[in-house]
Amino acid sequence: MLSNEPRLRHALNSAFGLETGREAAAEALAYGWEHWERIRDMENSIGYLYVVGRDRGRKMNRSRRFVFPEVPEDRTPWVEPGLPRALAALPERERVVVLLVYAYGWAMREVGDLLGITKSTVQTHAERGVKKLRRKLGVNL
Amino acid sequence: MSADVLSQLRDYGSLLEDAQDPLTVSDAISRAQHIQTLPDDQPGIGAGQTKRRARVFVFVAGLVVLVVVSILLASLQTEVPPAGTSIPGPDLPTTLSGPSDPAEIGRSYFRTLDDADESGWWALFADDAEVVYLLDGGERRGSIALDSQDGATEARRANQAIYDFLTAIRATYTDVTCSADGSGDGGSGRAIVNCTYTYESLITKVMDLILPGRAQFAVQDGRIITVNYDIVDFAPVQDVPNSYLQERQPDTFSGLCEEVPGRGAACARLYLRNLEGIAQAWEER
Repeated sequence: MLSNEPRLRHALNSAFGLETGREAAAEALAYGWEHWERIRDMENSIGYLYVVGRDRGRKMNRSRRFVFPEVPEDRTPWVEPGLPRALAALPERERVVVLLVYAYGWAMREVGDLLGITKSTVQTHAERGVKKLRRKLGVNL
Repeated sequence: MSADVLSQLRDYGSLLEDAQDPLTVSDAISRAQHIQTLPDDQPGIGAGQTKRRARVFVFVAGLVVLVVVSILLASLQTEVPPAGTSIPGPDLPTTLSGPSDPAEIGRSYFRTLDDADESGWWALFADDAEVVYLLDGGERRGSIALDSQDGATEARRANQAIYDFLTAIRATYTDVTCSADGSGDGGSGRAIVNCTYTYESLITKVMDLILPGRAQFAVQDGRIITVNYDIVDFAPVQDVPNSYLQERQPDTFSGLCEEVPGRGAACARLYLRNLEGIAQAWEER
């Protein structure tokens, strides 16, 4: 489970931003603590805990602003300042896939396992999400 | 704009990583302590059901309750018991079988392990009158060595209370071994039960820790009156020798719970606070 803590946090960060994502990950871990006897034998315990965290995160985000950190102006390498807002505008599923695959470097199969979808569906979400980001940021590459 | 979205995402990912520290075990434990105060039916999976669905459920449930109450009221009006009639209560489930009168306790009470109850509750069974096994869902989890029939009686009565304490902490205990000292004489209704166990939870799994502990339960009339416990140090799993429990280390975390109420929740919270101390000490190492 040691390696799963950052994975759970990354996934929930991708869904809800850093503030809510972190809290949702802590809630999910605590839920796992409380229900450990049931969860320990699960084949995909990280996927289960992700769903727990996602439900908590959705509730939390009803009453707070969605936050992805702004890009510092002097940051090198340069990152488009509009990227956080463009990410926030994506549908949740596309945002999670895009960030996990391209920002956090997960394999598509790993993302599929977490979300309970096939690798090809992950790929479809990733392509759609990136296409929307390119359009929003005015990038043609 | 000079870089493609994909490389920007990669760079933004490292920015996200730098902006946040990993969750600590203490973070999760403090959340768990918060959850301890919530009712057992807190939603987990499915907590994101829409309000609309919840409202429909409440509406339908309300209708059902109305119909049932109407039927009950109608039946009460036709069958009013005469004054002074005692109305029997519901049949409460029993977790232990066998005679309740201590005088009847004997070899015949104990059954073999093959007869173990599969209900999921711990129960005491023995293949002779000297060793009693703690069972959970038919799986053997530990044993209580008994040196007298009176001790056996008290241990049997203590069984549920001890189980409740362990359940309230919401973790898995393995290698549970308990011994009753036989001081229960049937007359005083009091027994001392010493247990050692290994504590296992999501948090300990995350940190790859093993947490051996021991607790002494003073039990009277089937109710825990005090719990004196130690969480005996802590160490990474790979470094723990078999004799670890005997080699008690200086940094132990002890606590004493008196008059454990209900399902032992107050005592469990004390225990959790100690566990949090362990987690913090571990992180400082």
